[in-house]
Amino acid sequence: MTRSSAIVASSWLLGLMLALAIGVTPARAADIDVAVKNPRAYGHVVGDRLTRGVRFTLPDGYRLERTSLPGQGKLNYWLDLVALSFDAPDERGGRVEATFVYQLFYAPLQAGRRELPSFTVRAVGPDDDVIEARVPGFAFTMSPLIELQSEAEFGSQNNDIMLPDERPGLRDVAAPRRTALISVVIAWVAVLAWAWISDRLPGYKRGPFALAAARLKRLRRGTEPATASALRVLHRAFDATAGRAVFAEDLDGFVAAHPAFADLRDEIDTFFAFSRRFFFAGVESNGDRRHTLTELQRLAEQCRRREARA
Amino acid sequence: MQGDSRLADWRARALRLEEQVNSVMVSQAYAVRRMLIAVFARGHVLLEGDVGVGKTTLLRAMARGLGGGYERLEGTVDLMPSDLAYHTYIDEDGKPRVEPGPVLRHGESLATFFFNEINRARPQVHSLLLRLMAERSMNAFNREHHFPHLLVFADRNRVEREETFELPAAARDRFFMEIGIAAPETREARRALMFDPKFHDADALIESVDKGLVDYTALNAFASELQNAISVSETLQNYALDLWQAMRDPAAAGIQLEDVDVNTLIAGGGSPRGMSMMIRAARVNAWLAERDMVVPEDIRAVFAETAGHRLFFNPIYELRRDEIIGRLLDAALARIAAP
Repeated sequence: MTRSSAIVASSWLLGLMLALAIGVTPARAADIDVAVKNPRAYGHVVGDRLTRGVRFTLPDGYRLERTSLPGQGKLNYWLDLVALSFDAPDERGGRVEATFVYQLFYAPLQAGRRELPSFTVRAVGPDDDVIEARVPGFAFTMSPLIELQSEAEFGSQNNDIMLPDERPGLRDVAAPRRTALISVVIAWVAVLAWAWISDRLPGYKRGPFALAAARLKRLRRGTEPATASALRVLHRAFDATAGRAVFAEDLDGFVAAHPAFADLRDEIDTFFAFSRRFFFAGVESNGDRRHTLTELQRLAEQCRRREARA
Repeated sequence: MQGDSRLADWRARALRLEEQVNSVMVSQAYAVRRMLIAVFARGHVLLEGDVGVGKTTLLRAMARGLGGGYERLEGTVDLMPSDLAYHTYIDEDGKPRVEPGPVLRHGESLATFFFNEINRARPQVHSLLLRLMAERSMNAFNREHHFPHLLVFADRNRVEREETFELPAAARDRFFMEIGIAAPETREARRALMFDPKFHDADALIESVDKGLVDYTALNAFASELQNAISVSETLQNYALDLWQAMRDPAAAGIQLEDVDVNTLIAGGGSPRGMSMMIRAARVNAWLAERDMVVPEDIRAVFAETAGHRLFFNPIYELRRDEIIGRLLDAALARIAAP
């Protein structure tokens, strides 16, 4: 056996081994698997958009080469690729879902066959090796919008082949309208209730003492000792009426500015004296809490009446 | 009970002093009451007012009622700190002599020291005075002199700005109160001041105040007894704290002033010392009103005098201070409610 024949034999062997290696599994594993989800294949007219989903399943370590896909824009005289989107196109391996949106600009005179072009995609492997796969074309039929009639006249009374425009159908709105009305009524009642409670009812402003009387009524329902807060409620009513903090020494000025309260002067004096003792001398009230609250409520009620009259 | 009768006894004397000083001063009841509070709270006072409104007369009348030494010094631009301590002169033999100056002349019995036109004196003098106020002591003749009963009253000239040295913030903060003295407003009071011969001779007028009506040597002890006797409730503490907070941050308290941006108004001030002095003054006010507890009205009565001069405005507002400060204090009092 000569030296050259030995080389030939070994290269044969190598070739055979390679062929075996490719043929058994790795060659299949390094393919791009293409699954296409096509739109319906009939009944398309000029201007329609066709959405085609393509799922590429890439081998591990391979990345789809985006330049191998058709570019967005005009593909030929009757077909545009108007949108092209991916999820996760740059990851290596795994699935890439691509969505192709084509728009048809072909105006056929009679029903006929068209085909979205096929294309080849490439994926780049970890060692810069390239594998390819072919996305098949998609054949479908397009139809004309109207039949072809040479004597037809658009807009003419006697020979217009176009049907009159369809009027839009009227939906039944009785039920939703009722729901909406009920909602509006509920919302209004809620707003009015809130405005009443927080004294924001326009045109019907409750005075500070009216609010105080209402709050005292609420305090009375509580079981916790409420004397300090009850006194404060009434104090705030005096402050709000005067527009500034009112102390015992200011009562002359207060009554002068609000003469409606003049005949309550003794009660108001008593209240301020009690409050002063309570808050500043640390002396607890003599009577029980209910009693005090009742008196406060009575004063608030009397003030509320004067306030309403003023 | 003995304490109560002592309080009542002192109160009677204090009110008599107030009454007598009021008979000397025309329509100055407000300022006299604040002055009385300062005396019984043992605080130094900054007097403010135009010239010739009776600041000196008021002080002399008060000093006479308190008894003890009274000294008066004019602030001038060439006044030196040593001038307060020493009096230097040439005696009849032509020899130079050094004698105790205005502060030292009365020794420990110095009770009232009136510094007229304090902003004409230089900062060196201010600093000596500050020590005198804070520690009630002074170094001279190689030893320390103490003035336990001393109250300093200072007057600021507000007319001129040339050759004056404005009191720094720290100095103003040490004054217990700043009391404004204005000329009487009513026509009757002005007529009396102009035409009643009684008011023409200030010396004779001051003679009408009983000398030593209130014993100045017992004031320190009584003042601390008084402070302990008057109670301050928690509600009132909250009120005072709210007021303090409103002073420091008027915008947060919801105070709005016309023509003033309250967000940028306050540059500083409202010191804790000032606030404690406010409560001291409020306690004295409560005592004078025959109460054993402080109420918000007491705070309100002394608020402007004890808090006003401790607030410092941004420079842009400082020139309009007199106009703004009253509105700010009023707004705070109107806004903050108690209880």
